[in-house]
Amino acid sequence: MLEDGDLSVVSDTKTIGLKSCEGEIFTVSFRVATMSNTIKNMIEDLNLEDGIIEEVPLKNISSHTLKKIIEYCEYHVDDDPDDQDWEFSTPTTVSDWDSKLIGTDQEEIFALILAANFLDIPSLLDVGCKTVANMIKGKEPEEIRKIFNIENDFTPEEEEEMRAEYAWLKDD
Amino acid sequence: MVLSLDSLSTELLLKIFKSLDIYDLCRLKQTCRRFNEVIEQWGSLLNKNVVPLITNQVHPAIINRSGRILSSFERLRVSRNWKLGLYKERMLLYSKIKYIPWLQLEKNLLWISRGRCIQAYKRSSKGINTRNVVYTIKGSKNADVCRFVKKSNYILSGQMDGSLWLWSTDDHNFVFDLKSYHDADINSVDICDNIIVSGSRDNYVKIRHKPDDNEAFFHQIDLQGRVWSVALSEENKSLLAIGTDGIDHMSTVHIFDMNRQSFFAHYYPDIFGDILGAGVLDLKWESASVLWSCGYDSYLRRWDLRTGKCEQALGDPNFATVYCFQYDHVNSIISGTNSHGRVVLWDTRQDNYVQMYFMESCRRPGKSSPIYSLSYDADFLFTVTDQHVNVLDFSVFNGTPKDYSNLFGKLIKV
Repeated sequence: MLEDGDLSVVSDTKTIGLKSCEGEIFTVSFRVATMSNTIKNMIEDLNLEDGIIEEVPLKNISSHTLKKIIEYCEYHVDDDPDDQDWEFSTPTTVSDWDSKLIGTDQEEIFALILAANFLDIPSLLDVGCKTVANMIKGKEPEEIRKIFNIENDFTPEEEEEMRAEYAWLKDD
Repeated sequence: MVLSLDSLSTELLLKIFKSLDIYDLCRLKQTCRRFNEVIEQWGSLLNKNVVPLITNQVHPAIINRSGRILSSFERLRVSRNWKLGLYKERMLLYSKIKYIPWLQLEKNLLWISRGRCIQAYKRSSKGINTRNVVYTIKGSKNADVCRFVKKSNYILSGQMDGSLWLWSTDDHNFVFDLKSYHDADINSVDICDNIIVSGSRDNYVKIRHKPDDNEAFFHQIDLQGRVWSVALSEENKSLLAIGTDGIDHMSTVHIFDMNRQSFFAHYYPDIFGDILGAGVLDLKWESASVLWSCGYDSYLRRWDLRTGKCEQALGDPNFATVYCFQYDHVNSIISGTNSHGRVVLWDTRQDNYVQMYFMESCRRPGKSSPIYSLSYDADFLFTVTDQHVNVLDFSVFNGTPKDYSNLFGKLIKV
């Protein structure tokens, strides 16, 4: 018989295959895979704790993104979940290791955010969102448009009106 | 598929925007329509650390006196102005004669009593045009209005000569005018459905029905001390709160059960030293079992009928008498004090005050006055002093903040 504490040992030996949209299969341990609440719920709902899962199709996640997610999960698998209150952690601090993993390419970041949202990995989603927030911080509207390639759909009159309304921003 | 910031769902955008401060949000609003709309609509959810003060338009009583309903983002922005002391002050009315006025705010009207006259001024989005008088009610000569209340279509008013009258906005006429109803000044009145209550300096509280209802119903209570304030509970129609002077008796807050025709409880402030004379000048029900009071002891107090105790006490930073207050039924109270036209903003989740506002008209030497009455909605604060009616507009976009949040240092709680 196994004690409760040994469950993690068991799930370490079990593996699960994650299949990217390109068809590439990544094999990871149960413990790493269940950092994703989506996968965790799937395993529990389908009673797959004992079986071997060869592949979970993730049709909307590319190999490149999936690789990053697995790297993130493997690195953070031993984090104490009680230690990280994501809702109340300091607004925009991202650890060096995390920011290096996420990189600076916008498309990759947004792909990662969408995947983290789909897989329901709250800490990774949070890190991704904070990275984007940091890119917005302290920038003028024109700069933000440039960085994110946003189309200005205001009429010149509306733009002038808003500029006048928010003139107080500069005084602070 | 090209992934970009504006291809994300609103839910994900909000997750990103929530770690931005109000300045970043304002700049982001100017980039495109979609972001502008998302921030306007969901703004107050974004900053979890910032719970708006004053701009919580939740309770029906508050919505009923609000000139406009603020967007989620505007709530954050205007609330910030209240906290910073960023506003524009305007004097609405001035009189040479000094009065003890009273006011009541409604969505479309501002009611003000001065002398024997009660007038209602039309409100608009820009403020108030004092030339646009909608109602004028004149009582009998030499009988100044002490306190009035407007509820549904009635104005109930108590005068200095002890007379009590009820006026209907439907037919612009007096429903009744009872001369010598009390033997002295009627300091406080209230009306709820068909119940009419008045409290007087003659030590009595009198309860009666509206004339068309049950003429015979009448009850009077001897409080053995001057009555300063009365308040009927909207939620539990049988409860009446009474505030007395506390000169001969320690208890100053009395809860009367009108169904049983007996007192439910007597409360007195649990403070050190001499508490006699800690009279209660204003009372408001928060719910059927929670009551707020203010008065000569310089505290705003929250009484809980379930525990029978004062559960919270907010002490005026200058230990001044608190004449009046208004509560937003969420977390914000504004109190009016006895001198320098000083008004204090409170957050009920903390013991220290948040901000203070001084009426400009009271700044000149010899012009100090109590705030006799006040009311507010999300954008405006209205106050009356002996000679002035003032409005402070907090919806402004610029100006220099008048920050008095540290004027007396922070009060140390003993």
